[in-house]
Amino acid sequence: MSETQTSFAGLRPVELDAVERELDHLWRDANLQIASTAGHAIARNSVLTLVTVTTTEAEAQQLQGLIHSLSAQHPSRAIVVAADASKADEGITGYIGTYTGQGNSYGEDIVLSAGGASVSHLPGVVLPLIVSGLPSFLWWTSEPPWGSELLEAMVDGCDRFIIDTSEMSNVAHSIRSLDDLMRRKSARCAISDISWTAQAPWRDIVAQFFDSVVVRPFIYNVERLTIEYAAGDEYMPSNSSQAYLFAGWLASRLGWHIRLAQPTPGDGSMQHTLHDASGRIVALEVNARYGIPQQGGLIQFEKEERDEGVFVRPGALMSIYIAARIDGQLGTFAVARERDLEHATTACQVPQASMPSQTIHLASVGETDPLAQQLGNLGHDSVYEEALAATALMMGASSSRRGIS
Amino acid sequence: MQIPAIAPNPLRFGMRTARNVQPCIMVIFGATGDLTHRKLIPALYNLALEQPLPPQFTVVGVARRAFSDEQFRQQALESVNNFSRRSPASPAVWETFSKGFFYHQLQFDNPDDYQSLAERLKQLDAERGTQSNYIYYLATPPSFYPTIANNLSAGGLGGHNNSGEQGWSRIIVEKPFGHNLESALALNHELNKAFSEQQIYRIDHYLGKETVQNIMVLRFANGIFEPIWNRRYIDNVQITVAETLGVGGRVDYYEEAGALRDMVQNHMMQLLTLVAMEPPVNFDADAVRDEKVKVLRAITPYAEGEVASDTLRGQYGPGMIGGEKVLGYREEPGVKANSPTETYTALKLFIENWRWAGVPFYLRHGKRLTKRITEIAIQFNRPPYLLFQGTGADQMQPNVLSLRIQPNEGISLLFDAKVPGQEMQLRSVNMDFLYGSSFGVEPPEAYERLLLECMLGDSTLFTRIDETEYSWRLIDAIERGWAKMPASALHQYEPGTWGPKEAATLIERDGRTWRHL
Ligand SMILES: NC(=O)c1ccc[n+]([C@@H]2O[C@H](COP(=O)([O-])OP(=O)(O)OC[C@H]3O[C@@H](n4cnc5c(N)ncnc54)[C@H](OP(=O)(O)O)[C@@H]3O)[C@@H](O)[C@H]2O)c1
Repeated sequence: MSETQTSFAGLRPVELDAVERELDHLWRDANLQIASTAGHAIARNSVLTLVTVTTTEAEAQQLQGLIHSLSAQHPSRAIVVAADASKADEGITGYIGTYTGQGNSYGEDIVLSAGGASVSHLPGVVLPLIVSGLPSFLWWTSEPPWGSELLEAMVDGCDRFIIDTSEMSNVAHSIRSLDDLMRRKSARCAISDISWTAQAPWRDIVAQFFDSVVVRPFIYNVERLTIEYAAGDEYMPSNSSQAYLFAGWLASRLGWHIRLAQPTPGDGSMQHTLHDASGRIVALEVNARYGIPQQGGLIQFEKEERDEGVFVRPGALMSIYIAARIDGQLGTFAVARERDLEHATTACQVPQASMPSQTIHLASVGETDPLAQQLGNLGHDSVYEEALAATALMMGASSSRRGIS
Repeated sequence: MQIPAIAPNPLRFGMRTARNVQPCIMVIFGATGDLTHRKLIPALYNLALEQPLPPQFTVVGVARRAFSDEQFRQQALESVNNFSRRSPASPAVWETFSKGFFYHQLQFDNPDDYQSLAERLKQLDAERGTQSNYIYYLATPPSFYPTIANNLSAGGLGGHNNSGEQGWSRIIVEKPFGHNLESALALNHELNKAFSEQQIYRIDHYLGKETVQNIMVLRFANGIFEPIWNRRYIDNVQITVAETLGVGGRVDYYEEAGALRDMVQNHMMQLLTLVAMEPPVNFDADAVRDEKVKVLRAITPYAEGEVASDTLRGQYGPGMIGGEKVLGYREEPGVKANSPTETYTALKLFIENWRWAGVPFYLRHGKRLTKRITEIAIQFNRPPYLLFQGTGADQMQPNVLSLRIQPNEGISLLFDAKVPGQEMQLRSVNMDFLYGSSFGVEPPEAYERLLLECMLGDSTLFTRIDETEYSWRLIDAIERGWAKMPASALHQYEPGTWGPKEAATLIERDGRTWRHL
């Protein structure tokens, strides 16, 4: 069967109390049609419910393709909610559809749209539509209304809450709010961040340096950590979330102390003084970078280049540099994004050990499909949660509440 | 703070790639051959691209011809570009990865050459930080396995005499592992002179398939199946491996082997053991393989005369498949005009234990059949249909749980339901679950998984010697029986059919039928 339903416009309106019944009918009709052509009946399975919250109907429409592509790995019920409190209140309207697509992908869509005061009634409509017994994911595509009843109720009704702090305009505030939400909701709902998943390849590469037992001691003796991320422009503002989550990860894994990490804004960069587990100073520098380093200076990425596909999202990691010293002997570990922006290359120098450099294709190790990977995670990710707590501290959350120093 | 260097890498904690590959050199014997070209190099590249492998990872290609490192790299690049599911190779990734590729000319049977190989490996250890960890992949004709193993050992490269230095060594051998029990044991005896069982990784690429690994997950991660997975509820089990292709390029090997040795001895026995085994105490290599061996040991040996009644072989004749004319097996280039080699085989066997006593397992495999499909079907007992007399219920199919390995990987359950209406009318319905194929990109190939497992030192997905041994016992008994039977016992069949007509008798005699696939 070909793609029956790909656009929001193709969905059919439905009364809110008839969503389940009408979906049954849609599947039945689809199978009847197939039976008449002697095809193989389509299954109606799901392994999860994905609730996506956006603001406008136009955004909801744009997300359809992405959500359908996820269903190839995770056949699902997708509920897309367009919640726009600033829009006139016309009650909550609903649309449904089913689709089968490329590969073995299939699934069902429910779209709900609400404006004005009706927005606050959404949880009562959305939550009963979550398929019972299966994991449910709540993906908030923009800055969530922190502290609102809508957010609290939705989070309480789902197993995993996904946001992308690299899309938020005030990173420090979002990280702190997310950390706060995580601590309050940890019994019911796991918290996760697409920004964290997107930089997983960088954590893998850096961890790999220290797999070798000869090199491993250096990780306990870090003196300097420099993280650079892609700067933004007037269209897409800068965002340091990935860079700080990376620092938070290293700090939490290595037991660094963050209390005195208040930043000193330097020359286009942020400098922090942290202390390692033995109390020695670790200098952290977080830099927004406007180009790719090349012999003889920086290459600017031009606007035109971006349009031609050589493009990296503002906030994406550009390079990590670690310097560590044991008994006066310096070891350096670096990963830097290549000029093509798709690859990263490592360089490592340690006394008495050889470590060839390596080039990695970042998309092949998961930099570009973080959402799909999110849906594969069901439980709490304790490493992320500890990294988030450390990052929040770096970004000014009060440490006294948590007993973390 | 002084932390012992040997403490685990703190950055790996909780990571998606928690198991990490140690720096090592993979020495490929037969590096200019077909298997290396089509499977190994592409699999290594895919691993490097998607895992990625440690930067120190090094490949040393070994073969007879005079090749330079550069020629070997060039050929490897062609392999990737022609056969990798991620082709063409990314120039940037290839640039650094291929710097770890080297070629070493060597005659398999010349001990001196192994001295120079040992020196080369030492030198590479120093240059690339591979810490004397070696994997030897024997992509060579099996007749060379003992020679190579012995020469490695004599050259100080074997497992037993590692001259006290740090580092491990492992050896991977391809199928076929022997052509009967005697030759398999003899081969193993030779390998054991240089390598212990823990170091030997026998490839069965079926075990690298995602859907095969799923059999264990389905059985042991779901509470509903295990209680009914036994003789009280199961009527019979059917395992089908059907191919549409003919013998293809490897005629010499196939003429000697035939369908039974080529497919049943290894791959189908693996499917059988995974379906029939008891739950292992954990997923350790030996715990899993202990349970698999118990199944093989419990297979009732064929008594005199049972081979004739419970097994069957066939050979495809000329005909049409998919609207195209195809040659009969005996007309294929390189095949003897009176070849007795079977291209189809079907058999019935029993597993004599508490779980399975009395439940027949029907296996069938052939080339040039109707369609390409690999499936395991669990047929449940019929319920008493008294309640539904006169409704046609007795004509209905029993419940079937089918595990499709390929294509359209998935699970389906066939059950009966009432047709809506006043009448009591029943109908069989199929409840399907298809695994999604991951979007756009193809899933990892079996060789990728297996190479990675060996690098990690996990042999769960490799065949242990006693598995090979018990499986050959069964196959040998069948071969012996066949040898005594007249030539007419090799049934001819039309390409594009489900095999010789006599195959139906084998199962229909028991009041059952083959699944319509
Ligand atoms: N090909 C497949 O698809 C496939 C599938 C499953 C299993 N297998 C198994 O894999 C193994 C290899 O098969 P293949 O098809 O790759 O074989 P192949 O194409 O014939 O390759 C043989 C290799 O061995 C080398 N060689 C032969 N004799 C040598 C000697 N005396 N000294 C040094 N090198 C020597 C050849 O080097 P030169 O080129 O320099 O002569 C060549 O690299 C076999 O066990 C086969 O059963 C193969």
